Amino acid sequence: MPAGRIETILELKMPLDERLRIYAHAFGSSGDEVGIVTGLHGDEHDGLYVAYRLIRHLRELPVERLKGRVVVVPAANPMGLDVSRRFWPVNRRDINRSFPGRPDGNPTDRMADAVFRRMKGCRAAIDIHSSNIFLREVPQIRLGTAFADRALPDARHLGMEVVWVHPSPTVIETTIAHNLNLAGVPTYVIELGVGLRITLDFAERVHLGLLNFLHRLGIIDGAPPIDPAPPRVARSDDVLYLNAEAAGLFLPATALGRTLSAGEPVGSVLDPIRGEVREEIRAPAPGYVFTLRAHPIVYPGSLVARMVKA
Amino acid sequence: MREDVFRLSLPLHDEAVFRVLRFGRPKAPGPVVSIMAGLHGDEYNGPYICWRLARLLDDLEDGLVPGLKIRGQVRMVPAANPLGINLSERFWPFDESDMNRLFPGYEKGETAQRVARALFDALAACDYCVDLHSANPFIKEVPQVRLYEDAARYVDLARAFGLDVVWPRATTSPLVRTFFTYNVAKAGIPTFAIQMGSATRLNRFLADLVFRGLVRFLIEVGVLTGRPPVPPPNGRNIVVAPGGVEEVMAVESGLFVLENELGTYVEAGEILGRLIDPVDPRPAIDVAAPRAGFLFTVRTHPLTYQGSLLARIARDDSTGGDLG
Repeated sequence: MPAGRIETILELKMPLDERLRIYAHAFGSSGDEVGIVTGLHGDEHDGLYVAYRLIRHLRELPVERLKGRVVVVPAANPMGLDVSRRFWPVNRRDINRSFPGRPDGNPTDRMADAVFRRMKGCRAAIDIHSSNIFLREVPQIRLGTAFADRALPDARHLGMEVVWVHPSPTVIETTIAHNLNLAGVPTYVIELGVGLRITLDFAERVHLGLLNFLHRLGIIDGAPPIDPAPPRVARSDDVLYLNAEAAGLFLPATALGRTLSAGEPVGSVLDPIRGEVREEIRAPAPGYVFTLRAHPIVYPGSLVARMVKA
Repeated sequence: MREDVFRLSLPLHDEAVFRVLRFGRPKAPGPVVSIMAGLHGDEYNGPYICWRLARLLDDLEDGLVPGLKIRGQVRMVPAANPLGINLSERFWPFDESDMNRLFPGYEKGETAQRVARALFDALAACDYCVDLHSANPFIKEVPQVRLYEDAARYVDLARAFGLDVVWPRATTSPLVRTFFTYNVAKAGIPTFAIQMGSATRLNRFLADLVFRGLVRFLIEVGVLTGRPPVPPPNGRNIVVAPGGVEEVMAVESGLFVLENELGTYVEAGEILGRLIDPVDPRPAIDVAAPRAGFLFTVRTHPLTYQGSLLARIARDDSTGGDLG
């Protein structure tokens, strides 16, 4: 079986004579390398499960079938994951807003730098996220507009429902995906599920998608596990944002992955004190629901759903 | 005059109110100055300074401050993140958005983006703009003016506050483009970010200096005319040249024991503090000043990681280079 090696890509000394380490599990000895990173946000767990599935699969793969290299960083924010906080817990800095990082900077700079340096020689990279604690997402790929042309052809191998090509707001310039893309590594951000939960059926689909991607890029030899249909490619104008205008308790009336016609109910905002419905939210146009709010509390402006126009 | 710029209904039936206070006649001939405070809910010096200034301007409008007149207008938002202030939370408490990373805001976006837009619309159309901040909870700062956009053009105006340090801060981080000050300054409006003290504290002495500096500034730009009601702060007004700030970072993690004093001149090699590890009681690691200069930032929170900021030292060119 392929000899996987666990590498320590960062060792950060803690204030009380302890070490915080970031690990990478690397497989293969020659050829193109594909990098997978999860757990940059400590409140997202689907990626950890996907990493477990992939590492387990690679450990059991006959050695002659591994034609290239794979490196998995399953827990890029180990302290955040340990204490279930999204960011670096000490000062709540977002590691995924700290790239490309600095080897001599503060802890988030060093963590970003360590992950970035390990990934920047890859043939392709995948950064797995579970949205946040508020929204649940169908398995999907996010690509920045500037890099879409280069990355799109291989995106379909990941077998996701949606590829969302979106323009980069300012803060996105500090993500791992933007910086790897700038460094010439086509990088796919996969979103699935919701924070603080494992959405098992979605995670299994992402696992199969990753295996298929590794087969199609020639990293793993043998018959690809799936033959996915081309994904819906959504550009900015194709995406509808549905925001609550009232505050209250959001109750969904639809489900992720459904195609709605115009006017179909998406959910309502309830007023538990008066016992009234404060707002009914309906599909403004026909489309496919790829994001749906999981957190019941909403304010005016809270996102409750995103749809790709049909 | 107080006016609500934004009322946000909360999920269970109350409202968060974002208030702007306005002074001076709407068509007054003098300039308009906007003042922002409390974008970070754990910073209390700015809201306190707004209170002091509002008291002064209220009295002025009531004719209770002899020899001083208001020629222009002052608009201030004393508490830009009321939910955060209520809970002593730095960020927007519901989703931990940093309010000062959302500008210019978006009226159709997420809640905090809508709030940012309303605040921006209430303050951005002005002749001069001031954003009041404390440092984060880990460090403490002397009163200082920071400039981001077109920094060189506004150094003289920044000196009008009479605080200790004027720091034209060259930064390449894209995050700066989401700051309130950057987005106001982008329209060519002289904009000043003032830092003092520490988050989660009301550093009354430092905040009073900044209040006096603000009054001096308002007189300098012609919003107020006449006899100053309070003395100027008489700070050192050190203008930091490019490359003139030395940042001292921790080489080791541990607890930082501060042994020097904020706002003093230090010699090269002088001890700033020591790093210790209580469960591995080896000798402390000395942290020395790498150059002589004015100690204008120190770490007051003992918890320190490798790379944590321990101090900033400004070279004081006004005294002919490094002291000592």
